[in-house]
Amino acid sequence: MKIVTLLASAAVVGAIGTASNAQDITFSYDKNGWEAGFQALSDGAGEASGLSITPQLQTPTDRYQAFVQSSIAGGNPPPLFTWWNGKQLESLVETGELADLSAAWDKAISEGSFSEVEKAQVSVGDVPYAVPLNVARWPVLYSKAAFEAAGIAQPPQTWEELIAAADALKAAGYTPFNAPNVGGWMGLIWFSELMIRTNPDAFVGLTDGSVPYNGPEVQAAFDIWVDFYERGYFTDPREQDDTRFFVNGEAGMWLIGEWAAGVLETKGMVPGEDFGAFIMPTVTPDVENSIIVETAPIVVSRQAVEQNPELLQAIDYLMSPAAGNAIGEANGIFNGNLKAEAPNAIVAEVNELISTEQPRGIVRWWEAVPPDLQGDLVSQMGAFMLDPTAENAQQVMNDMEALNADYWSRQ
Amino acid sequence: MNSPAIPQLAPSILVEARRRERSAAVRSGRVALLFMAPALLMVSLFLLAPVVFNIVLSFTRWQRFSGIDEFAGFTNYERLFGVPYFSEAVLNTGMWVVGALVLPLAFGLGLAMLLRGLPFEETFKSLFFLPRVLAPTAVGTLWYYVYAPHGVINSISSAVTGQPIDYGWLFEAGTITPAIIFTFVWQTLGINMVLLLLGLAAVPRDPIEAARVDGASNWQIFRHIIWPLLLPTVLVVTILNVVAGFTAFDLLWVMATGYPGQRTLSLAVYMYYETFAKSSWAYGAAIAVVLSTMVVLVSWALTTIQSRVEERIR
Repeated sequence: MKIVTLLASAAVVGAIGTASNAQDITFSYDKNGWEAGFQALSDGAGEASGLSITPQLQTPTDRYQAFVQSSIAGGNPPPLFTWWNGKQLESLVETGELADLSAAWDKAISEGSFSEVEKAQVSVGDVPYAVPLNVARWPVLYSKAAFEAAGIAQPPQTWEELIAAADALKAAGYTPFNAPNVGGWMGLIWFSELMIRTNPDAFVGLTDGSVPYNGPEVQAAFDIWVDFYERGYFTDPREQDDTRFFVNGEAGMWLIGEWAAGVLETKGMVPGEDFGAFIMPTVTPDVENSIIVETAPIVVSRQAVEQNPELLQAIDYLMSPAAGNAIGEANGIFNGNLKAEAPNAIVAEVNELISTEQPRGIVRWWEAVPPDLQGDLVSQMGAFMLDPTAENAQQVMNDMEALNADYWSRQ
Repeated sequence: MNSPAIPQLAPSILVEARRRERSAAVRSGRVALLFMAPALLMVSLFLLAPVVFNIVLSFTRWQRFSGIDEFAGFTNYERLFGVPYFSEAVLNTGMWVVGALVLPLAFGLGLAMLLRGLPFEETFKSLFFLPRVLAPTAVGTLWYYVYAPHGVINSISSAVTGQPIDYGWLFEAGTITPAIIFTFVWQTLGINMVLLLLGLAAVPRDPIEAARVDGASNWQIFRHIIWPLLLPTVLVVTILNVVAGFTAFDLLWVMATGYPGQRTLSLAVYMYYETFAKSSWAYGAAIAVVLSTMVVLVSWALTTIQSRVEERIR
């Protein structure tokens, strides 16, 4: 009798446990420092869907990636998690484990919260598989005090004005550009920017193997990069505090994602008052105006949606202006929602620039390039920054192309 | 006088005795196995099974989300020899093994000899041992700022020479490995010294005093008496240092974070990079197999030498 009672109790506990597990959704992410934002999004999504959604931070990024990949390889994907767009998203979609979010996107676009531009950033083929957590454009931040001290009246509109501004800053005792290589990945920033300012199509071609890394297109970008170093336009790339020279007033400009405005705010700089933003002009007027766009997507597993159809209501919430405002207020991050309020003056300024100049949005190199090539190529860019001579540039271009050609020949 | 005849046992009794002997041995074997079972289970679950799993993985195509069930033969091992990163990593690991073996051993032995019998010996021992209790990541962060372009070394050099010096010790291919090995020596010197002091304490005084009476010099006493008797301890220290050299990771991970060629600084770092940063699980497993094989072979050779030395001393 006792055994029967025990078994019955176990069955009830098991049933309760299973039922409770079915309602518990973990929201996994690796964005250290964004805990308040993820808590706010989880609360809002939980309220909208009736599910219990719990944010779970896992760092560092490589451990997080390992967790997601091994979970998927083991047939048990996390229900709701952040990932990267571009080729990273493509390889994830190939597993067949992600839910198609077309319906949620159709609704959000019809309500005016998002447009086809944002949808394209998280689509593979024509199918959207994610919602944006963060949409960051990459403008040049400039110190208003430095510009004023150097006698620069307004942000540069042409390449000649950019060079003149850099020279004026140098003459006034500033280093024109803060250009660190913290974490070993920041070499891609100037490489990408100089590519899109000289030939944006070639930049896109680099990421699909159709343009070589040692051809004339890349050579043109490296020539400018070498020239800028020779002119003394950049800060020491060995500095491991990426904000240091901009915050302490040694550097006048910083080419970086607009999310950096929130970081600078924590270091005492007021966005819009102490620094502003502009889109770097193209080297020649005939080059199409463009801007690098970095998108951090949130994806949802197909399996989780099948088990908890309410998750789709959580997705609707994540695409709402309320979610945009929640993450904006918590972490100063813009998720691309057109109806959400800009979280700070820099985002508002970039929104304004985008609507006036209508630049072409280009997926950031890190997300656009095949994952196998990311680390190997970006370390070459970092190697150039440590020895920025024309001779080393040639060596770096040849080494990058050797790696690139080897990769594409195996596809 | 005839010796008494040894009584012969009947064959059936002998057979029975042997049977009982075997049965007792089996019983005692079973009991031993029972006592060993928890340890065997732990070792099998947490050591042997992962090792076997890793070896199996190295023959698959697992990368990122797929390929774990696809057999790749020796492809991952062939790839090792086709990329320059691997040979660079092997070369740097070789530097680490030699550096981590010779320097802490030589300096540790020198210090042990120097400190033995000195006033405040215990205080000095504690001071030299202190870095060993710090976490390697803390040590790496501390020394990063010693070597930084505007760090301690360059600041002192600038003050001495009167010239601005901002040499990137951790950003130049020629200095990064020696700089980090030096940090390793700083941290491990103390434990080497303590182990060797224990060895020295076990060396008997009589032969040393006898040799001194016979007019032997300090060097002759060290060379012919102390060193041979200290050799078993030296071999233990050698094994520990060689394994540490092969598996050098934490200091390299922390201190070389801004160096573009970080992955090639040791085989352990290269393995981590391929496995976790590039998600090449199977290839990373192959690197782990090669690294482990190297460590096992060298450790086996050293323990064999150690056994022979101990036998000779006995």
